[in-house]
Amino acid sequence: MPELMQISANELKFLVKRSAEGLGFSPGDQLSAGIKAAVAFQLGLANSHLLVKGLDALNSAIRAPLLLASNDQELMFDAQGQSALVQVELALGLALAKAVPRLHIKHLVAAAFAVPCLMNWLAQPLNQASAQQCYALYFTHHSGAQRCVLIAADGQLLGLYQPLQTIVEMDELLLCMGQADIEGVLITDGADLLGWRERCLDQGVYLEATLISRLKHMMQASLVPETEASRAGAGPG
Amino acid sequence: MSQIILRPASQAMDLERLGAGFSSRLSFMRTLVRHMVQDQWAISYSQFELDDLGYGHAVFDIKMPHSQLSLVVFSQYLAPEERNDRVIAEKWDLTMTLVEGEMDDAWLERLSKNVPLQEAGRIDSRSLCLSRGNRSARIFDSLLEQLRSGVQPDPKKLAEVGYLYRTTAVYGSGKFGACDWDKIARHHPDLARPFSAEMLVCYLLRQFSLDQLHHMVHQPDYPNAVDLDMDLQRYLGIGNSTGLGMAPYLINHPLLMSQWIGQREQAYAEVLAEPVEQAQLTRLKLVLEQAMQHVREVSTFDAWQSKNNVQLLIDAQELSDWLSSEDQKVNDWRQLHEWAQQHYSLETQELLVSLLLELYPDIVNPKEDQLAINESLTYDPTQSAQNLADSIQESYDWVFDYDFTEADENQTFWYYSQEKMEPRLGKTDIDDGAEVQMFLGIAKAVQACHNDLLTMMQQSHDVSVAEFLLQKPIHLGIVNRIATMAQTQYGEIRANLLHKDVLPMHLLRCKLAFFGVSKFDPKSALWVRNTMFQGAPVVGDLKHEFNDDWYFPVAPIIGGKHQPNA
Repeated sequence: MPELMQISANELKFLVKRSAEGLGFSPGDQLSAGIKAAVAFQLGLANSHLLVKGLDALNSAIRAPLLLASNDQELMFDAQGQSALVQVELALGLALAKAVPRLHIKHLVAAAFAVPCLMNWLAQPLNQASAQQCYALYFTHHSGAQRCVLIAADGQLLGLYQPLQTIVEMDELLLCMGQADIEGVLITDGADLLGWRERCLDQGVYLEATLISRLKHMMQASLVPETEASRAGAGPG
Repeated sequence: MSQIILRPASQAMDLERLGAGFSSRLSFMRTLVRHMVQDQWAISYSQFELDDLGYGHAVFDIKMPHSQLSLVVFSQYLAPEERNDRVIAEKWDLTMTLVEGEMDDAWLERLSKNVPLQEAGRIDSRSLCLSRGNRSARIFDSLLEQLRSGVQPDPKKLAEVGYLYRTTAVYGSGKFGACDWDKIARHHPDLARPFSAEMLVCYLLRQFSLDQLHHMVHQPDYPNAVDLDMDLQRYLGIGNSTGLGMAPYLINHPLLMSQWIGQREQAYAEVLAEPVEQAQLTRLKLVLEQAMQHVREVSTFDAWQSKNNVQLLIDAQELSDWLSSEDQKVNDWRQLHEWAQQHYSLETQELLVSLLLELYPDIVNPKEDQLAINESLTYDPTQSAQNLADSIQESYDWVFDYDFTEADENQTFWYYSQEKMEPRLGKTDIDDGAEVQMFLGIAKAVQACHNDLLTMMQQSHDVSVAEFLLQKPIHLGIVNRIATMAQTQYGEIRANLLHKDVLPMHLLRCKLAFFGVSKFDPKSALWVRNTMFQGAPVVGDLKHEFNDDWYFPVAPIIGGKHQPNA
């Protein structure tokens, strides 16, 4: 069994943010990565294995997902193998702005990290609120199984489901707007997901110790050797 | 009551003005002490296991109305050559952690193996804060000698330092395994105000410093030993040195900043609208005199701060003389405010803000519960790009005051140092590392975003923010910020932190004033010495009647004849 370490959500956010910074991502992506990682852990949608996958896929040479196709019914993006820790909001945002019923993002690694982003947007009053019943996000869970998170139009989590059929490929995200029900088995309802989150707020989240070491190593790239001039007068800090 | 008029953000958020601020009724230390008294907190030692040299451990038991905490303090020998206030230090005189509930032996044992190591150890989510402090050997040892001999110290000597211990770091917000702020806010409502837990640690460190001193004083070999005079005990605070590490905080937490400034400005505007009554006028004269004496007692070799202090004393004396003269006629507080704006230095103007807030606890105190906020910077992807551009024009007009084609406006960059992970300033034309600089150039980023918005809208007017960001993803961070902060009145500090002559000191003082520290003593443009909780009631005072009047502490008069530096 790998050694687990308890850390706070804020510490996880900080470590992931600074790791993204070390890889050369923009300030918006850095912060977004940190928040998505922390919230996904708190909701039980991510574990160390998924975060490792998400970190492995981070590629700052990719600027944004590519829009492959667009019509009234569907948007299709290619994330080009990028991690959902970053940039996924660019595609999700366009889907909300255009109010298309379906959004497909192909080649998106660790797609579960997209969930906090959508929840956050729906929880605020949007300028052009889509009169949709519910939002269903399909992705592959860290267990390897298909999962769907159902989110109410106000951002409330309604539940985590296992779809009855294969809906998405391994590295793919599907957002269906206006979906009232899921053809699948309810695994955890919204109250339990939030209960998990409450427990994590109280007790922190658990990461493999080797992953924490890796994050600390990654963030080193965002540090700069200080010069004598910059040290001068900087005091005891 | 006349009309309530808020100071505009262009004034209240000016960096130099923020750097001229003083502590006030809304400062976190004041708020904490007020609640400890009002809510009848019960603070006592459940363990006090120190040897005759003061080494060992102690546990404070803290009973608040809604929950119970413990502060565990470890005291160890530290060789003088090992005493180092820098972040790289690995050993301290005192180390401590604030934890939930009561302490048991197994937990204490675990903490004893981790807390003295600080960053190199590990605490868990039952801890709220981790901290350490170093002794001011100079004053501690001489005080010990004198009290053991039955002699009270010279208050003047005591005032030169003002504390027995200095904090060198107080870590909260989930660092090193401690719990998140959200947990404190939900489970410990008595501490659900910004930095309350951190301030509590500093307050109890101060108490421990006095109790440890007395424990060492009253050893069997010293039959004539006496306690330190109570007024002198209250006059001792906790030393603090604050450097660049604190500066980026105010930029990285604009919503919190907006809340702090907004509540203070609202309180000030309400106070200015109050009718002037003789009782308040008399009180203003008293608090002004106290503030002037406090400033006279500030010891600093910093030329800039000394000059500011001198000017403040000249202004304040003039104001005091006028308030005491027979022909003065203060019709309303706004008149006084406007006079100060036209005739006095920034520090005097901001001192007047703090003093006027003192006069109206009923207006000001309730605002202390509005200082915390859920921080989330987020944009609306469905909003039109035109709306975003309009928000920039309306709320960020100040960013267009800077010409970023000028080298001077871009010459500084902020980075985290490899050696200590502490913020440092670099020069773009000299130092490497600008490519990984911190995101503190808000004015520059907003300008760049605005330029790209205009270019895109020239091609098509009917564009959403989502479409804009898909084309220009580099602006994701600043769009989140603009969209959120455009809905607030305060929050953005109006300055270009990339300018070659940027003065981080203003940021430090602004935050420290909200903390409630006193005796600002800059040691360079980048760090400042100050004192926490000087003049505050000691734990034994908390159960007695409380006047909430420990602002602008002045040295006590012992034996009716001495007043240091007066």
